[in-house]
Amino acid sequence: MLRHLSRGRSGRQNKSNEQSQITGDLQQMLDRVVAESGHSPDIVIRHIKLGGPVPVPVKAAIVYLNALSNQQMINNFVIKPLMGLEPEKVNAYPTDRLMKYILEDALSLGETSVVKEWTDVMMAVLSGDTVLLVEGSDQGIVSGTAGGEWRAVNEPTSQLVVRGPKDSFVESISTNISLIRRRIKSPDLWLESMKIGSVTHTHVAMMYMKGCADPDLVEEIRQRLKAIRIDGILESAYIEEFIQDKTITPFPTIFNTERPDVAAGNLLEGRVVILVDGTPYTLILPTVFAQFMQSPEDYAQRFDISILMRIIRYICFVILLLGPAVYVALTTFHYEMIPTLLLVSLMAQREGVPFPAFVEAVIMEVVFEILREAGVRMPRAIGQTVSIVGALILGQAVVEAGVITPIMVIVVALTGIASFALPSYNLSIAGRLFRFYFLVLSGLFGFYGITLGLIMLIAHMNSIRSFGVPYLSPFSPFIPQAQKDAILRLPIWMHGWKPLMSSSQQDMKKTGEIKPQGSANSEGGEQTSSNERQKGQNQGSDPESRQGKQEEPNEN
Amino acid sequence: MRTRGLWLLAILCAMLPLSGCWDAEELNRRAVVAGIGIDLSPDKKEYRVSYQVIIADEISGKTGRGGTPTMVYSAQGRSIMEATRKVSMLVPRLVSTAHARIVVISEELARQGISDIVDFLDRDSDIRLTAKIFVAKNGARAHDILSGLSAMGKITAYTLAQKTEMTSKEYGANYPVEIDDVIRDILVPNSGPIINGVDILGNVEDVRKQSNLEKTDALGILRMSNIAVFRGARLKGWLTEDESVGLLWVKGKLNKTSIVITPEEQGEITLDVRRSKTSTQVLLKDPEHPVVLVKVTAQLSVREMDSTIDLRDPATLNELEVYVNKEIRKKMKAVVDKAQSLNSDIFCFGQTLERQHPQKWKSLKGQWNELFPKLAVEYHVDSIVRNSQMRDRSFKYDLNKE
Repeated sequence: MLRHLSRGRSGRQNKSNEQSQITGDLQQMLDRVVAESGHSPDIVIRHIKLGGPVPVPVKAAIVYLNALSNQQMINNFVIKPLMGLEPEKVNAYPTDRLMKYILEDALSLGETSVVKEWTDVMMAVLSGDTVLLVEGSDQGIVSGTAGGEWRAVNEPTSQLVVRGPKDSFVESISTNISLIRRRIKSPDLWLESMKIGSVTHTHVAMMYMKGCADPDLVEEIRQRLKAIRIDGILESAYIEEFIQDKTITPFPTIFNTERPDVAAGNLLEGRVVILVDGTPYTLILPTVFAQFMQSPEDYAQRFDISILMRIIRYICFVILLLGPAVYVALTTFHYEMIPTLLLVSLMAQREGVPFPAFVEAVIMEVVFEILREAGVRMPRAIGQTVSIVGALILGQAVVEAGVITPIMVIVVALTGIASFALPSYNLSIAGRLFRFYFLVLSGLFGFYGITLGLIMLIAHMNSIRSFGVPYLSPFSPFIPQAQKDAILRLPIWMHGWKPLMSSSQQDMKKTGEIKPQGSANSEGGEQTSSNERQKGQNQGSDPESRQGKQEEPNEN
Repeated sequence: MRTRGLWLLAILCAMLPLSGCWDAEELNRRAVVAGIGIDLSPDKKEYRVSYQVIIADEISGKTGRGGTPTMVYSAQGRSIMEATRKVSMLVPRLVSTAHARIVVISEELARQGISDIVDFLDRDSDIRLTAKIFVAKNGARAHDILSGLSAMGKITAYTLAQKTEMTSKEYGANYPVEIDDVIRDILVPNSGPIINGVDILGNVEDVRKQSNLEKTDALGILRMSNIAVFRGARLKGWLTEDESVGLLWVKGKLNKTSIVITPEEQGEITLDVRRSKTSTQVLLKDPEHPVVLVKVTAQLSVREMDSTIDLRDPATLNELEVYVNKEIRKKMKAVVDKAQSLNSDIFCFGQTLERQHPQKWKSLKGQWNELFPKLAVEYHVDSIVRNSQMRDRSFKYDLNKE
């Protein structure tokens, strides 16, 4: 669908390539807008006569997309000043001077620019900005009036915490940038933006802490982003697949989050955050395995409790990987390892069950995956019904009918719960995949197979790199200082050294380039933060204008 | 990439012969054995091996038919393995012995020698060396012992193993002997293993019937019996109950036991041994005639007394301790005399000598056979009464005063 669209578009663009500049012929330009947009009714062309009805009014027009732009802004800050231009000046000035006059004296908007390329005109209109075209001028003035409806900032839906910030990213990239900037008020928080997608022209931004993030890493990411050639970016996952080091692995090598606090925390640790317009999920890289076992909650609760919770998460991961596999191995290969009374109970359960334990396990795991898949896709109201049918009726009936042993249901339920206990959905689906791999190995070779599988799994995990950082980083290679925040979570004042990364470049305290916002003394900052936040919310979408100054948009 | 894939495939193929898919056996195709019994066949020429198989369905399943929780299958063969293979004629599932917790050998067979059996138990990859071993006493067959049903715990073999552990903790006339211990002890020169006896209290035929469990006063019950003394791999004789306790004293295996003493004019007093320690020393004053010194320290508590003595008085306690020492010494002496008469160094005095005087052992090793029966053994018993439970004097104490 997308590809088809793109072919159509690019074909048309090629045809009009001979005339890529704006000409002074207003009517021709307007006709071209209408023609190129396929007579879309949402393109608004408002004709204006500059300088009022006096002798020879200068003909002009503003073009905007009514669905994407802020109508009130256009009325008040574009049309109104244009209507009120002093007639003498309009008539007296030559066109170039007139344009300068309009730009500097008339338009009361923060974000304005002059464009000469035709593609810029179309891009501006399609982004929700307003373009002013004047008869006789080969320039257009773009006013930043992008608006339109976005989902408001809500509580996160997929990464919940009991204690911690309750805001989450939304689909608007400017809102997302503002959410991060509000947390890190430092000029060292740098932002680069670019447009990716030959059709969608999706706004992609890369944020990092200067002096904290490895410059080589930033450059590498920049190059990889620039190298992306695709029609459209609809989710940050598209970018993830383009820039990750290794595609042939179920393990996620790029972290994603919809939580601004997680993004901000990772920025302070020297990582790079990639934001994509149109999705609340931002990418964080480089990533190591231990990050997927951490929850923002860990830093909000007491450290001893956090340590326990982290250990439990690791245990859950092991249960998720090996639960059914160990059961199959024990019952079919190593019955001597089961405590006798448990063995008797298992044997009694298996009496009259038609399938071997391995087949039983595969059936139940597949049924479980079906139920989960059904539950996820269902509308919320029906989702409940699915879980009732699945959990209660199917689970109970299958045991009562003697098709599956009750212990198998327990094992599958346990692995299911263990998969939900992981804070990261990516990792839990990777674990779900590996569970089948271990199940097959144990069905064939028992514990011997599981051991071989584990060796291969760990070897594989060791081979993964995320932007040069070993995936098992604080454990292998073993970095003693980083253990303070890997499986353990020692009190924050003890951290000092920032965890997980292998290069000392990322250590803010050591390099001393960054002022103390990275360390724990945020008391002073916190008192003002609530006021700041209110102010920031009133300001609306200004962060986007700020970022425009820092880096020229890079268009594909 | 392609060669890598081929390598991986080759490695995967190499895995196949390394492992044992052939080991895979579903639980419902296994007959899990709880206990093994070995008898002589009626014509005394072959082994008769019995397996107590757990019928899991009758224990915790929903589909039980009200049958017995265990079944005993037995077959005859010239070797134990042959008999085991023949059991498959009776049992529809794979006989799996990894969970066997007891091995019972009939007295008749034990007197002939058990080295063949021990080799089988040692060699078999499934049977654990921690399985407990018993000798069926008083003419009971190992088969009968395995056929018993017990009220507490549905698997008789396990209840028997538990009985061994419990009685060795509480009374001290037995201690758990495992296959591993037997293997070690057989190898000791002029010595042999000691193995717990087990016999049937009541009617042999009743023990195996489920109706046996329908009475409060069971007609038949498996009972831990005294200890059998072996010399080499052959059973030589049985200890009495007192001798069995004495054996545990000498070997230092005693956890708890009770001692009844009768001081003059004081009535019976019963004391519990709470803690005890034994150390054995070989003295070589006369190089050709070593003397074994058994030192025992025991801590006791008064549990019961039909007497009016005042236990607050240290002198009284000292008096009691003298009686206790005598009693302990008596039991130890009894068992040492018995062992010497059977000429089986079940206390491993020889090994103690070897450990303490390795040079001397080399010269005495050859004569140990003759030395042991005449070996002088001295006993130093030092016991302390630590407490007297909830009372220091008997309730009759004041009665006496009036």
